[in-house]
Amino acid sequence: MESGGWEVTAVMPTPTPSSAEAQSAPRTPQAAERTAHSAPALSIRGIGKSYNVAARQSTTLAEQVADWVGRARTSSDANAFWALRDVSCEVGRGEILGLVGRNGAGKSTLLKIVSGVTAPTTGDVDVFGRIGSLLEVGTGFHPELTGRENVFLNGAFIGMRRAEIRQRFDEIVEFSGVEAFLDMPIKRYSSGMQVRLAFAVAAHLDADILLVDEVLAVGDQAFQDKCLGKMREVRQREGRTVLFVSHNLAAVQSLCTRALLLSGGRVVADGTAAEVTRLYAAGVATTTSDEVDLTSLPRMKRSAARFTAVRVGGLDASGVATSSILPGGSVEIALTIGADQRISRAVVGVDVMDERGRPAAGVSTDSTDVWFDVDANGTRRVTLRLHELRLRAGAYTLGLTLRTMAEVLDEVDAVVRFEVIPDPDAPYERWPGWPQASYAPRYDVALG
Amino acid sequence: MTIPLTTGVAAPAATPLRRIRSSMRRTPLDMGELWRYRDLWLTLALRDVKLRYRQTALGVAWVVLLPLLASGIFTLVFRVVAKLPSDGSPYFLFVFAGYLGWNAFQNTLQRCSISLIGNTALVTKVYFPRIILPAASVLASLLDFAIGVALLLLVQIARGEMPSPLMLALVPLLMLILQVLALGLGLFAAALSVRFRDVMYVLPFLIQLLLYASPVAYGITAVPEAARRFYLLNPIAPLLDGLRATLLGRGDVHWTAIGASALVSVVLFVAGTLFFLYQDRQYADVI
Repeated sequence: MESGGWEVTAVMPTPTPSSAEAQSAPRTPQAAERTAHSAPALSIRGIGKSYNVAARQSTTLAEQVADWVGRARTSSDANAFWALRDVSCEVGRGEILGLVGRNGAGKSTLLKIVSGVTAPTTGDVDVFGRIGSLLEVGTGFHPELTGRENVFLNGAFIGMRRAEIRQRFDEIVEFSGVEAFLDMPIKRYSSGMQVRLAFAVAAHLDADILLVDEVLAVGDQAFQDKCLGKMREVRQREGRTVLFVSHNLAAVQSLCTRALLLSGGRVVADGTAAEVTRLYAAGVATTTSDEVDLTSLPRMKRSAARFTAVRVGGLDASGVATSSILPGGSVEIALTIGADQRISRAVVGVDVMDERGRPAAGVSTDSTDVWFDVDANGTRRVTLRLHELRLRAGAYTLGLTLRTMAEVLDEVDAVVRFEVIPDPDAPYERWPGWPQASYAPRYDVALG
Repeated sequence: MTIPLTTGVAAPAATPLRRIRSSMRRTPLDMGELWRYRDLWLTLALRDVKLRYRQTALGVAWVVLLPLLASGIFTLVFRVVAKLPSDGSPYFLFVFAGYLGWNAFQNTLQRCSISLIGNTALVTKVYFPRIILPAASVLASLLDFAIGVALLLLVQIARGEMPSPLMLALVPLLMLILQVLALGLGLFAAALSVRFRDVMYVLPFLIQLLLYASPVAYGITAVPEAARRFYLLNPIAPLLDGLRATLLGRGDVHWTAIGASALVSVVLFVAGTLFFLYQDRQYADVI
């Protein structure tokens, strides 16, 4: 690493480990002991899930017939995408298990299999107890029904009895803080109010195992804290098990007793939340070369073009490459795009995410009306320079999107990590982490 | 990090509450689980009932207005223009009685067929026994039917045509067979439409066709004697005819044909349920 101090780290897809290696993934003695001694809540053995990613999904009868004819000729394995492979894990009662990993790592698929929404392609799961899922915003709500009616509907979907909901109705409403709007159709609610109500219902569900997928990304900080507090309280008081998927590493760290790191559909680390989140934040593998190869990243779909490489570097005021990125400095992002088929009028978007997975800054080239074509089997280099990136010192990752007017061709998340180092000339931060936002605008202040 | 021991936790369950197996080809029909989810059925059925006429000016009145309008049009076309017989009742009431049964059948079938694809977000995100979605269609149809029957009986009493209680007792039985049949067909349609949206276009057409092949606008007596045996092969024909006869207290009930319909209904219902459960494992992936 260069002495001056900023580094590029690639979160590489793990070179597919054999099952033996997967089991020897870092694991604390406590974690091993805990699963051995406490009663099981979930027993997951060798779960795999493959999706058919043939160019098009046959949805009409004619297409299906063509598909049947075609199936005789081509092996269906060629089109299989394994969203999950060989995942095994014992979850003890009372554990709060965090699932971390990049988009497409298989976290949500794992939750869907455990909850029974989708069937596994390989492996078995035993569920000891009632499962409740915290639904995505709006799922299980009907826009035309009132808040009151939706509490019953949402509760019923996650398996609550009407009597149970009636009994806890006041508590639910109080927790959600939407009392005043209970008899208003939910279509007039803000998304924040909907999340509050949905979480309030789920939090009062008497499930033994609660599945929480990324809901906390919505809602204001105060409500997020309230939710985290509620989840912690629920666990301590009632001994419930929670599976928690989040990009919010701070939340995972503060809430979870244990975490799994998923990459490319496999478990690459299983240990305490602190260990695993540190491992994830640092990147599974560190590379000292600037250019990060993206060709071997697992993708959810096959499309005409994708990012093949990315490089991130700092620039000084005169545009010369520097070894460090300071708050307010410029960053150069060099992207390489490869296409199998010709694509025309494409744009790229870049999202800079902070350590907690929150978007901090973003641009997309269509805002300056820069569109480009890539020839079949050709490559194209797109270099973006972000100027005056007024980000606080800390670690950031990049999310990249390649799209045309019609469709998103490629989407990769948290592929490169870079560090913004504290400005040596600036006054030090008295309270690190406060204010909370990553973006710090230049400001004036006048005292009267 | 020390892990706080959880207190007050019941002894470990010896057997898992749910077993998920990749080797299973068909989702088992877990009656215990369906029983545990009975409130979801009720809530969904009530949602359908509540939502139907929300934000409409006439509200629940539509429940009786639609069959009345349909009967009015039938009367105009088939009575005034085509001069069809009506077995001794006023033609309007004759059609209305037939239409009530027909409406309950086609409503259930229609709602069933879109119950999965109309709830895509739920199917892909929440677990619950999927069969509850089509099954919840029944309640709204029954409710409409009950309201229509009440109206019809009021009119009959006002006309001095007191229906016999014995005959009326048969109405729920005939309706039950009709709903079992509609649900059986609806389960096929719901499962198929997940993969083939074609169902959405074909089904309304078939239902329209079936209306003319069923005794709604005309009575079975209008069908030539020689063709009647084949006509009664349509399993809903003797049911609709029987419903009308019991509601109006006129005409014969074709018991043998009704028995055959009941048999066909049960077979279709079992087959539909099995088909639905075989497809069940892929709904979330394909929909």
